[in-house]
Order: sequence, then structure tokens, then C-alpha cells
Amino acid sequence: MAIIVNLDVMLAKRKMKSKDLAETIGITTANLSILKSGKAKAVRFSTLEAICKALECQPSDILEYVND
Amino acid sequence: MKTEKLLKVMKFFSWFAFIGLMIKAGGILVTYLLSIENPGISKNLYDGMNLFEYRNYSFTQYSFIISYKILLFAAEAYIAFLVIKLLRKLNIKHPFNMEVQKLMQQISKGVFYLWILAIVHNTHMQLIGTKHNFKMDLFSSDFVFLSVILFIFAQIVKRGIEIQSENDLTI
Repeated sequence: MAIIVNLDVMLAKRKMKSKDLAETIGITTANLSILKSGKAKAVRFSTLEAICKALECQPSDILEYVND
Repeated sequence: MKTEKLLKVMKFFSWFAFIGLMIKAGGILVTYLLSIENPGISKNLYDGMNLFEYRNYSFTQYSFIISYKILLFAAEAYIAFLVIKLLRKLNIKHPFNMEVQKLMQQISKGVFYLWILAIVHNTHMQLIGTKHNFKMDLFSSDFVFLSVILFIFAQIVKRGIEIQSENDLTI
């Protein structure tokens, strides 16, 4: 996949657990897991905004484009 | 609520059609077996079906026509069975699932094969019937249109499933 989700890296940097992030942004841990594993087909702007707010980062810290 | 009731009624009718067609196919098979010994039975094989002239003309041709008829009714019964299965799997809240799509495609294929079988049967009967001026008991063969429509619906459902899965994977 050309778009890499670096959510794990950001979570580690902020020393936050997946469960806590899921609770903060209001999605299920199952959906957060889909997002982390790169299985998600799309991310809503509202979800991205909530993640950035919770992790105090930019969208580019979470999403990365890799030419494959 | 109305749709659910309608589906229940349709399920009942599908069972009715399935059992009826199985009885029909079985009835023809039994009377055919009896007509081997007693040719007179071929005058009324099932529900007034008269193939006595064909029986007298050639037993092989008669057997062929009978096997077409049994196959036709058995194929119809199989389609009715698939419809029962489809109605059982159909969930109005989540109508788009792979099983429903596969069953729709199977029904479409079944109807298509039924159409081919009906054409072969009718051609065979007409070939002998016209030549010897026999009474002809032809099978309706207007299924191809239905088959195509069902196939198109199956493709639409397939696309619906893809869209639904994409929607499910949008976080």
C-alpha cells in the first residue's frame, strides 16, 4: 500500500495506549486497529482531526506516502 | 414490516412450487417406467400429457422426450429450491452479502440452462412432430430475458457489496 499509517509511532512518542486514543476520539478499538493495520479504505477528516488533536500532531505525522 | 410479510408469503409459494415440481418430475418418471410395459399409459403420463404417438413411433425418441421433460421439471424445482435458499438468507437490514449475490448468479445460470434445455426439447419434438403430424406438447422458452435481468441484478448486488465493504472500512 502506498499510504502508510504511522499511528503506532505517534502513540509510542506520546506514550498513549490505543484504548485511550480510541476513547478520546470516539471510535471503537476494533476500528482503530483497522486504521493502524492499514486495512482501512478511507479516513474521515473528522477522525483525522480528532487524532491530530488528541496526539497534538499534524496529519503528515500520521500518514506517509511511499512510492512502491 | 410489509416487505418481511411479503418475503414470508413468497417463501411459502416457493416451497409450494418446489414440492409441486418435484411431484411433477417424479410423476412423469413413474408413469414412464410403467409405460415401458404398458404403452397405453403414455396416453396420459401426467396431467393429460399424451405422448402415445411418439411411443408408437420410436421408443428411443419417446425416452429422449421423457428425459427432457423430467430434466426440465427437475431444473425448475432446483431453481425454486435456490429461491427458497435466497429468501432464507435474505436479511432486509443487511441485504447486500456475498451469499445472496452468489445465489442470484446461480439462479440466473439455472434459468439460462433451463432455456437451453427447453429449446432443445422443443426443437426435438417439432422435428419429429411436424414430420409425422403428431400432437405437440411444447415447453415455454421465454426465459432468456429473465436470465439476463437476474444476472444484471446479481452484478448490481455485487457492486453494492463492494460499496458496503468500502463504507465499513471507512474510519
